[in-house]
Amino acid sequence: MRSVKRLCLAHFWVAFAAFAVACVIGTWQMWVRSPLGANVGTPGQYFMSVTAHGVAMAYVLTTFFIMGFGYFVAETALGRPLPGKPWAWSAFWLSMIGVVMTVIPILLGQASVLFTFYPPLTASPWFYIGLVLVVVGSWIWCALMIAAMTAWKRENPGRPVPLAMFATVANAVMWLWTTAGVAVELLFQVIPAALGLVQTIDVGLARTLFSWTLHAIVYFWLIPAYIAFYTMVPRAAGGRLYSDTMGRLTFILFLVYSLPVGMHHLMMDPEHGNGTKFLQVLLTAFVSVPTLLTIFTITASLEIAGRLRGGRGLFGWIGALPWERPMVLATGLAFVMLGFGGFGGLINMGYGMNAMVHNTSWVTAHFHLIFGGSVVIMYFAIAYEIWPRLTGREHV
Amino acid sequence: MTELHPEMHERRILGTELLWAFGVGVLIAATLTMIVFTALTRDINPPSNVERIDPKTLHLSGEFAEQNLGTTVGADGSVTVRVIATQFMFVPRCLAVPQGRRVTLRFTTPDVIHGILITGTNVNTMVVPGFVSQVHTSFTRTGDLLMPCHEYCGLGHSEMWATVQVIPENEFKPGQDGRASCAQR
Repeated sequence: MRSVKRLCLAHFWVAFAAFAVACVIGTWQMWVRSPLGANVGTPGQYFMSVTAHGVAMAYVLTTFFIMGFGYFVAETALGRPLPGKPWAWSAFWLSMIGVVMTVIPILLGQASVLFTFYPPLTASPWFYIGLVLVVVGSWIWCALMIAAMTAWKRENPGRPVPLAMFATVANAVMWLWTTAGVAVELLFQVIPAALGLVQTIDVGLARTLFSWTLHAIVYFWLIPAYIAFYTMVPRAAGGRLYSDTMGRLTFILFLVYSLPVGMHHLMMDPEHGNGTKFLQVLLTAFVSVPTLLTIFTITASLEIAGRLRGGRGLFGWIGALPWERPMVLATGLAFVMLGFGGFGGLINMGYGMNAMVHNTSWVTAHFHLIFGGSVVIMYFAIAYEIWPRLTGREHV
Repeated sequence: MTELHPEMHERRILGTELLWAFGVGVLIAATLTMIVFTALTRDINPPSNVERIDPKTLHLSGEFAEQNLGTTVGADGSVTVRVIATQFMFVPRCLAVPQGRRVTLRFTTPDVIHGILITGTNVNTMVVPGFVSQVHTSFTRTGDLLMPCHEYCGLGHSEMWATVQVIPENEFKPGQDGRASCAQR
């Protein structure tokens, strides 16, 4: 455990610093869009801030937190030192250089293309190259996660991989596959155009490649929260996990269904036909299965805990849960938000209803419910849980 | 629960999980059935005509040349509206359409990604360089509707919007050339 403490803390500090900055920026945006702050700021300042908010939240907070948490899981769940620690530090510094390269053009107003790029809008090449470095850093992390699990399996033949590590490696494999889309878009289309090497971009192809990464990226962000649901919450609530098998099934289903599912972001695009779009609707419907399984398994796990603590009757166990514990309270709140966000997602999936909400604030609300309500709240619960072990201070 | 034999426990867990999985299956099947049913019977589909156009030359000739933009009523009475979305305006800025008739809206762009929706209706599509986006609809209420650009297209994005003027059927009178515009009212 000693060996990855500083590594994990370094990642978490970068992640939460990015979160703090992005929170301030987000609050400023709400203010200028409300009647209170009308006519404050220029469009240049506003869209610069939207770009900074998106990059800080979606790329910096998530990637750094997931990498740091992955190193923690690899060492604690497998009970052996992380192999290739110098590689982990080089991945950290590579990603840090990438973040700095990305942030400077944003602050200079030379990258107000939002975090979703929208080519043929073009930003400074440094903006894109910096993001590529962050992704390359995360690829090194993926390789380290797979290497750690493989080494453990060699030493422990025939034993099932601990659930937390099983999920982390599933996430790493998914991330390797899904980032291929954005990497190809940036390296072969957007960066050559930003450098002036090519004069045109196939926008339909660029959108398709980016969508390859989209949505699956949300599961990349979400899986640490699910790891907490399955491996930390039952214990924090004073019960046990209802079903280990369901946990494994959930992570496998995420891996299988989320691969091409992001293309449902192109439902209203003219470059794809109705056949492709219906396939995306099917995949979107199927990818709700792992979340629905998780809601059942974790609720059942909490019920066990509530009944062990003396809860009676159909709903009495809910009140008997130890809500004063951060992990339990965070899970309760996350489930409410995930519920609203998830059902909103099913609305986005329908041809008819999507036509009414596509590209409106409904969608912004949908992903903020999932991201803020489930992903970030659980990141904080996880950090609260493991921080004393990282700093060497005990729970009081 | 705790007094149960471990094997009974496992069986009970499996039973509840299968029951839940069955419920999930029913929910998904019902949702998909609704989507397929409305697609087939009510023609509710996403805009998917996959029609290519060269963004560099679309303004020179063909249906998106200047004289063809706006509302055209064909000899068979069909209404087609052609609009160019460009940084940071729509051409034309006002779309005249009759109430209660099938209208075909066709959009394209010579520059970057845009998108449109018409408030209070389910008209919604992306407008991507290199493609023509087509939406069929029928407007049920008369009056002026807002049609903003709904995809970030640059610093002037929030200034980019058009008006859709839905005219009562008996007041909608295209000219000899089959053209109709907001100004003629």
